[in-house]
Amino acid sequence: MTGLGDMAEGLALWRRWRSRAPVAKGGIDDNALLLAAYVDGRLPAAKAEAVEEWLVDHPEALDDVIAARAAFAAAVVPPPEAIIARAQALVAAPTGGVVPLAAARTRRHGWRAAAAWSGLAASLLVTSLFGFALGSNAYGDLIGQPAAPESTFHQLLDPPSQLFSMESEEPAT
Amino acid sequence: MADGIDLSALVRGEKSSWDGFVRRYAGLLLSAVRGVAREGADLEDLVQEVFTRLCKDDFRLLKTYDPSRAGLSTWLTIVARSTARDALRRRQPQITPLDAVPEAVLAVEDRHAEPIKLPDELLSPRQKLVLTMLYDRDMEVAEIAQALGVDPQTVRSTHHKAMLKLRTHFAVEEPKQKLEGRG
Repeated sequence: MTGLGDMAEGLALWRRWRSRAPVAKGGIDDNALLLAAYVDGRLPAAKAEAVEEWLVDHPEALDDVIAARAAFAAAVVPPPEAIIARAQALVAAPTGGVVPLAAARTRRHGWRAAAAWSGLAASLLVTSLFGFALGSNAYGDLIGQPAAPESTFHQLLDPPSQLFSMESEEPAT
Repeated sequence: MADGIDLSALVRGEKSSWDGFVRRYAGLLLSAVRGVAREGADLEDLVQEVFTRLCKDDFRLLKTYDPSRAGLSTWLTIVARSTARDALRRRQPQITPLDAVPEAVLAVEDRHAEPIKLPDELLSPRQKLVLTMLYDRDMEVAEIAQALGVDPQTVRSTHHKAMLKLRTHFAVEEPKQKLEGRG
């Protein structure tokens, strides 16, 4: 360390002072924003001095200040994608609610669920009616009873057999 | 806005803002926790701890950040280191190597000599800080200059002035002690 004179003497004087000097009492809160302001040189002189006084007796905070200053000049190495993906997952899309660390399962209710169930019920009803109609016709044929007058519903489901009847053909000339 | 980040959107929990924030600062946080982590520590877990702390309780910690007071990168570095230390302490008790303890803490008080009362303002806070870094942490002048944001020559000058004060003070006090001892 050039330009500092006799380092051994300096060390001895410093140790002698430290062994007797009172530890800084009270002082600043352990406040990240205040320390960051000090690192950025944004504090007024008096406040900066108070922070420096406090830092002498708080080595972890002093480490943070040193590291924060060193970060200015250091190139940031791109992190693994796994780290990014894991952190991004902390906030859910699209409502942006923070995913709780131990999320409880909740049932989703609402109109979408109601519409889905309604559709299912409707399709079951239609299928049942269709099946019942076919079954009724088949039973009538089995016991030789004339079929009941077909309702519009029957005509829709079971078109008239005359559609393909030979009687409707023009007689051959 | 801070460092190009829309803070209001971020603390509202907008997904795109959060994703952009993570991508931009994950590297910085990784570097910050690496400086705190001991050998074998899971750096990915520590980074996740930091991001979790930033967004939990409806982004409570992020909402305390004020861009008019400090830069976002600086603030995040300090928060990351503090969070990583807390996480490591929770996981295992901290064992401080003897060499890491400042000499002043281990110093044995000389009970034969009457303690010298030092004026509170003998050394300025800046002078104390320079001497702490120089003698307690064995830092180089260039490192101290960078840490304090000053020129290396300023560090030397600060050291020189502090030494003058200490020499003068102890030189004056020692003859007094000798006289009082005889009397």
